[in-house]
Amino acid sequence: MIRQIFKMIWNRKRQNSLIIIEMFFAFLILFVVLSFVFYQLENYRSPLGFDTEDVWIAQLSLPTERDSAGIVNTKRSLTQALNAMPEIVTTGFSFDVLPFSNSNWITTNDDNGFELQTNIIKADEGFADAMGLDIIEGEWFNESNTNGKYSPMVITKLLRDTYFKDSSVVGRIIQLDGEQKIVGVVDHYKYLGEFEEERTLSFFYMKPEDDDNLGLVIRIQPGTPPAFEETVNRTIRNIARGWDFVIYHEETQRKRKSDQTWIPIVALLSICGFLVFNIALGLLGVLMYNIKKRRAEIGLRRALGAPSGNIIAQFLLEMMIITSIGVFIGLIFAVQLPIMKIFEVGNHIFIYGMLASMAIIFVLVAICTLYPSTQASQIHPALALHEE
Amino acid sequence: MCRVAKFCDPTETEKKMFKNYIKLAFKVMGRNRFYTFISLFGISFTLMILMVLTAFLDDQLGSHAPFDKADRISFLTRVVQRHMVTDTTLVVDSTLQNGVMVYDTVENTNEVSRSVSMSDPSFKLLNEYLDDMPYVEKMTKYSTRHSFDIFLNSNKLTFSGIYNDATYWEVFSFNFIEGGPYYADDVKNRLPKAVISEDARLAYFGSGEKALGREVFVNQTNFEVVGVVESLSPSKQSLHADVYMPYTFMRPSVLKENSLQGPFEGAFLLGDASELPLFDDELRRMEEVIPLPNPDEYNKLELGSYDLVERFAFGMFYEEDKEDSMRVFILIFGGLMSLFILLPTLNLINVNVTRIMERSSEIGVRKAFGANTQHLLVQFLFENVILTLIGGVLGCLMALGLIYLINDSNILTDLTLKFNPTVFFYGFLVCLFFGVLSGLLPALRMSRLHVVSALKENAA
Repeated sequence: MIRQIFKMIWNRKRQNSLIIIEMFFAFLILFVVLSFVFYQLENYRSPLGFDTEDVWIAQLSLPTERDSAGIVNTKRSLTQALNAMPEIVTTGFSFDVLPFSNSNWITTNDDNGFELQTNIIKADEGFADAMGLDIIEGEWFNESNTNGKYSPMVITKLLRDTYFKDSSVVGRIIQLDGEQKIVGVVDHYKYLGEFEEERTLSFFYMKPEDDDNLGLVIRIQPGTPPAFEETVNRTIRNIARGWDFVIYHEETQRKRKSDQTWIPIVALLSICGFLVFNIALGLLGVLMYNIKKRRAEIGLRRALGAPSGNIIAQFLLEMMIITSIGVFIGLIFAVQLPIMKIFEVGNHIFIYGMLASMAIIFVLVAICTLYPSTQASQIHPALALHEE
Repeated sequence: MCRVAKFCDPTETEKKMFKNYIKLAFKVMGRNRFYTFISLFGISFTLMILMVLTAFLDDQLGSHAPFDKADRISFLTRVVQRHMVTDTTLVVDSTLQNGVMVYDTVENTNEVSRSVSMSDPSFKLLNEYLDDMPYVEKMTKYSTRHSFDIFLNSNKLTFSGIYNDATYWEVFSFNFIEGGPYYADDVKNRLPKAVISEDARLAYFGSGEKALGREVFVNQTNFEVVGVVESLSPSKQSLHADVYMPYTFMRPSVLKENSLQGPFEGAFLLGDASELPLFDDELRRMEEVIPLPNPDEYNKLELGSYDLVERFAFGMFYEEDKEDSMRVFILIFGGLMSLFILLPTLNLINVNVTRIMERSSEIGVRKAFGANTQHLLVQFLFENVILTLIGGVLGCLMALGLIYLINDSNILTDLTLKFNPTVFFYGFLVCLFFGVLSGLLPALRMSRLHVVSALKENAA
């Protein structure tokens, strides 16, 4: 049967080649768009690792003339004044690489005998609680570990799993901007945004006299009225005289950053949806006409005793083979993306993309074939032969 | 041959012919509504998407207010400082000469960048070194976007602000709804005057209120509002802000800062667009001339200047340099656009090839009565172009609807897409291209059909 079908496809090669080309391009577009969407969604699924609800961050720019004693005092006064308010749960400082901003600080070195790349965030004792970080091993910065011989650092689980697979890391001393002692591991910290791939990251301890610009993390009680922000604003302004600052609501920041990815995803998917629908309609039209023209052939087969299921199977198989040829050519091109490693994306994303595009195309073709071929298979043999 | 005088005039005949073609085209469309629907659906949706996409690109990159002089503007938005070290590698080359190994050593030296620092230009760089560049008609320097929290009756407003000089208002053409800009003397004498955006006026003073002459309290200073401008989308880098203030109100330390990198940007309006490459050469020369503040730390300077399109591409695809970004930009946008045109076109060709087969009898009869290939070709193309034009009109209407929806829902934050003649023109062009392309192959095939087989197929 297969051989006969191939023969029939060959006999109508002109018409079929157009369908093959169409399927080829449809597969390519679907593959590219779906791989992109899968990649984004996979990143979206992994947790941020910190809270955004009821977390505000005041970004503080220090004046150009900085004296460390003044900075230490101002920071201490800020912490005391804010923590004394009943609406505030707790506060903490980091330097000004804030969540959902586009800034980052990356260091790479091979002083440990292997190449280690990490993003760095400087933070103080209060930061973990204020942000709601999840410490899964060891501890966060506290008085007992910040005054030791080595400056302490906390790493993320991803960094641990990437570079220190089979040894316990807490207590280990590594070379990174001097000697650092790992004191703890946090679950996640995907601070660049929900759709960003998580990167290896380390927290360095920020000493009170550090003169970087600051992010003051303020965790407020749930249900605090918005007007409370003015009090916070006034307090900071009165204490940190001459410092510029803006208060960001992390929940708003998160939404804004995510929208930047949601909008293209939705736009791409709807354009793709339209393309697929368009192709389906076109295919339906072409098949309806083609099958109508083959009434005589169908009538003859029916008269010779072929059941209607056989007729449907024949058309279905014919279309599936044609589609497979188009998809196969598409696959040859699509496979180049993971092979040539143009994008730093896991291979499984591309495989999902291929599978999903194939599934969509085959289901679509099946539906478009089933309707006209079912109609054709109902033809009464006598009628069809009579027409002939 | 021609006996009736009326038909002897060739233009008259042609007129009649086209009238017939149009009549026929509509008849054919009405005969098979399903195919007509498929074709129209494909054409109109494709055109709608293309038009919305063009409207978006036109909004971002087109030369209209406030960027109506964009083709003559060069933006200086990136200053790169590098620490270059000479890297020496010893290459030993061994060759066999007369059975004896001969070693040849070559020392290769090349410059390697050790550490890099990238940032915006500083006020000092723009003010002292780039103030008087050749080819430049006007030059403006302005701060990058600042944010200010403003509390008004226990409501919080977050205003974005730009500090600028007076030429800013000449290089960029803002639409003033109320009042006008401040001038060089105001900036020099540090008069507290500000221009605010329409959105800021609404947020600060309430709906329907005028703002001229009233005061806004920003960053602990009371500014008198001298002008209100139309709000811009946040994607308009260097221009979108809620409040614009003279740069002299910035902290003095920022203006005095000795570094070449700081929170500023410069825009250079040239006399003519053709001078952009010459201006770029001048910048390359300046890179050598400008003394670096700390040569031990960084010893090489790069000044990154972009035109509007390059800046857009660079902001989107942050590649090594602007040429790379441009390449990626063209590749992705061009590739995507052409695929989105190609697929519906293929679909349409497919449908047309099928549809035209149905008319083999008509073709057979016409051929038998002496119609030549060219005539038939023109007729089929004509029908197809009419179909695409109808689809184009539908697509235009749908694009208008979609643009209205996008603007209304504010999904692209303040981005107001406009349906302008440029977009319409491109849409029309694409439409014609689409029609001719999708009709050509089937028409060609059909017009070559042999009379006998065409008539015979009809019998079948």
